Amino acid sequence: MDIIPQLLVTGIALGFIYCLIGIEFTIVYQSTHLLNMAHGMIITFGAYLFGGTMINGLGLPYWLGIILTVLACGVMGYAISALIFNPLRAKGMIFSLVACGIFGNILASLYLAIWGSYAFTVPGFLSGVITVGSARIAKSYTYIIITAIFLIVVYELFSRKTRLGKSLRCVAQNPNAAALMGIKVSQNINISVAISSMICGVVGILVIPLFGIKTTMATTVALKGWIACVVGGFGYLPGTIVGGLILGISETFVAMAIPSVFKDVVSFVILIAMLLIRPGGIMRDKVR
Amino acid sequence: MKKNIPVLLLVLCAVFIPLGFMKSNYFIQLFQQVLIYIVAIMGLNIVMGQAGLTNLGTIGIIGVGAYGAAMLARALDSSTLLCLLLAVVLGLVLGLMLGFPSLRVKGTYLTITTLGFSQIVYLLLNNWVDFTGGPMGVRGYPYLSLFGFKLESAISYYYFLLVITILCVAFCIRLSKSKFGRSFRALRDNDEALESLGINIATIKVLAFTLAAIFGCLSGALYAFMSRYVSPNAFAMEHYARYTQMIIIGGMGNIYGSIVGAIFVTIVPELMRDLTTQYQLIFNIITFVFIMTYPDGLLALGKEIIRKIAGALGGAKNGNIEA
Amino acid sequence: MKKILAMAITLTMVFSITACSTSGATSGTSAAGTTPSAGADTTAAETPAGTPAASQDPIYLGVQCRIDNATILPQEGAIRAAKEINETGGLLGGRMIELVIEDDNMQADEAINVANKFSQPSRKITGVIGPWTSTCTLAVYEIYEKAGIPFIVSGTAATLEELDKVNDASYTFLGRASDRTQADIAANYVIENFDVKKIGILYETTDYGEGGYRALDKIFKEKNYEVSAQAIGYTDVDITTQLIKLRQSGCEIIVAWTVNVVVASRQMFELGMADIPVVNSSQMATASYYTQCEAAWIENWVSVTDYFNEGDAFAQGIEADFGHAAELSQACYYGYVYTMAAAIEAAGSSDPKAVRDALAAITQVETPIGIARCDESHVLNHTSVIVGFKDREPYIVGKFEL
Repeated sequence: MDIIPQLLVTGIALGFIYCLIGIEFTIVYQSTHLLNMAHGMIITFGAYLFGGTMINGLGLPYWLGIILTVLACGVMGYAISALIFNPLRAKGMIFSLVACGIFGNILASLYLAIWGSYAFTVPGFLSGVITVGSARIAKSYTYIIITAIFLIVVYELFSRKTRLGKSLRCVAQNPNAAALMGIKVSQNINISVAISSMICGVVGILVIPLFGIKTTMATTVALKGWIACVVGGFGYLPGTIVGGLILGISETFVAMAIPSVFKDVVSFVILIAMLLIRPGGIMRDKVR
Repeated sequence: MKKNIPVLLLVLCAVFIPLGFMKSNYFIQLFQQVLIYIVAIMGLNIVMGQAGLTNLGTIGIIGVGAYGAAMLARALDSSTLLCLLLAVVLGLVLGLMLGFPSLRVKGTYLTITTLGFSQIVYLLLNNWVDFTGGPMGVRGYPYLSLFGFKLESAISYYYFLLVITILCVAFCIRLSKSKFGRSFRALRDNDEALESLGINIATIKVLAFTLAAIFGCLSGALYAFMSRYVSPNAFAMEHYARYTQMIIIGGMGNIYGSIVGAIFVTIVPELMRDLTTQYQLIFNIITFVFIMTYPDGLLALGKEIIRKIAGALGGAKNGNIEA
Repeated sequence: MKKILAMAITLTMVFSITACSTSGATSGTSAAGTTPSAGADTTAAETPAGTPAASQDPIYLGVQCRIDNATILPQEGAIRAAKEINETGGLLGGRMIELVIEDDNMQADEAINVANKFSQPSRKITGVIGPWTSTCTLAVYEIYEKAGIPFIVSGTAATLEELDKVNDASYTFLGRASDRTQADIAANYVIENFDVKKIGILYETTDYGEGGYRALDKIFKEKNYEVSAQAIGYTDVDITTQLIKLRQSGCEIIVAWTVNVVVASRQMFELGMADIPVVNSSQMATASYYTQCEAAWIENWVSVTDYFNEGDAFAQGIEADFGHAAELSQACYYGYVYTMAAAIEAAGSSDPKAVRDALAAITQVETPIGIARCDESHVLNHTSVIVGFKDREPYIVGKFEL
């Protein structure tokens, strides 16, 4: 059947989007054990800043806009961590959950105020189609796949080979021991969240041609990314790839078999099935 | 006896204040909404505040209860306590459905599972058009009637809700003082100790979820008869936040705190409507700052203020130093 | 300590009773603050501009919709209309229109609260513009009917034409033709302009999409067309499977009843389906949406809409006051305010019942979405425009009068 390559490619591409989101979500969870419910809004911030200010507003070249936006997202993540995550860390997950949720709503109103109420996009950015065999996929999907793999490799190297990376991992595994070793725990957490936010910024920029720029652009994928990292194994980065791919591919294929509108139910059923059968995730033995 | 005075005063307020607003459906329906939320919050307080199990599935549970009651009422073309009973039964079933996964998953994963449950409920309500009517929702069922007496006026439905709410709150207070309440709190604070005392953790967890689901479904059914129209929009997953906000703003784990939280989150934004159309944003900012600076909740804040006032007054009067 | 507590509770009780009963008595001078829009001074729009010594009370109109929405901003149209009317002297010999704008967030509960609020006699609301969605209308129509306040809604669900009667003479007015009528127009356009046998329907799972789908399905099946339909979520970012299924069904034309047009047109192009003509409901004609598309994606699209921005005075007014292009939402509420104003003038008073009677007799009010004329089903709008695209520039393909 000639649609199988098409479905496969779409599933893989979606899977990598979920995977990227899962990665940035896992980074925050690993270091703080809190769920970063505001990550959808950080992704949206990346998109708005890049599209609205850098390109449409200031007319900067793409590469400069990307660098500045990613840095800005990092700063934003650092601020969120310093102001919200660190203070609420001791109180427990539900507080940070609610606080992030409210903060996300405030951010949405802020974006509408700054960049106007109408949805928009960056014309011609990453647009175009390439043909792979009998399948046609959007060019932006290929960029997403390449970027995702690149980021994963870079992050793994950073986290295992560099000193900062290792100290971030220490803090994630055992904050008390890390503190005893002289590592500044709060500072490290801020940096982890900053890194996660920079990845969010990259995701935001990459999905502009797919979702357009509006306040609701990231809500569904943010949730699916969450599911992806749970399915893959919370805390093991390559596991997130597995989780994302499973989610993306099964969603797409199942949607061909059943009335497609129930596609989203598939993701949640996979999630719940996974949590009941194998709570640590598919690659839970490697989870650290 | 002395402890009951504030409670008594609260009940008296609830009984008499609405009489002052009888002419205005706006306030009466607002009070109805507060009571409906309080019923749901009682359930959430048991499972999350006391037992410490995160449950973000409240909105899904309420949706099931609301649709169940509405569809039965429409099918029978009569709305009676039978519909409320159906809601309670649905709650029982849902509670067991949600309770058992909670045995296998903990903490963060439980949060995600319950959130997934809410989303599944919404998707089914919205997309299973043949059964639920899809996005158009369910309407065309009559006002709730109590043994033949139709609760058509806003004020009559309010007093009915008040009776139900008082019963629910009283039940929860008794539960909290009973051995079950103690088991719930033990589950939150130290579940290993609980096991060593021979109490089956599984039973406690499932019981907590079942109670939460029963209250949630009941709340949903009461909502269905308040608005006489249910649509999937009202149970979209995003609304889960409202209930957790109420619990946290009021004071986690505390029945009176939850009530205060429910009143605050429902009434304050409405009162702010006259100030500006951006009242939602301002309310969000206020609650955000409040949660960050005083996570213990409004009830604790209130107590502290009263303590300080009492201290100042008592100290000035007698020259003693009040605690 | 307990005495203090008791005192505090009692004081609160007394305070809340007195405060609430007095605030209920003040007239609704809540010309509330407006949405912050990029670079526009909107406060002037609501306070009467350059009023003569107004010795008479203002006329209060309620406006109900979701305020901070992406792309759908009906309240801007209402604000602009009220401003224009006030600048030319107001109504009934010098009485200024004062809008009371309330956010119902497109949610049934909040809509109920807003409707109850507007129904308070102390607010002296003459008429209400809104709600915007069908579900909110279904939730609140009984409240307005019982309170006797005429209201013009923007909901288009076919069920709105068959509401249970509360009063002998209904206070509900439908500002736009129902989904059934719009689907009729779309279907007839297909039947008359295309020689096809298989039709695909792509619709979204909202009250809007469902209504359109049911109407379309019925019409096409009656005329013995082969119909294959696919449902999408209105926030879906990937509809590949639905499009593939439509392609497999061999449909030669697609009727797309959804807001999700940017994703749909892009993915159709990517899947090589860009040569299949598409008849869309009103969304693609919105500047905010078609500017997000590329020309190649929408060459074969047409959109059936109530409003097409031809740069008329209304459009220029919105652009000037709010800094962005005028769209269907602003056009609707702008028209409703003018319609309500005409009814008030015809009734000679701001009494809600008299205004309702005048609204039922409206025959000729010019609005951006067409001439407003009230028919037996209380539908006010009877024209539609079909918009096509050439090099991503919209142009009028045809106008329909019903």
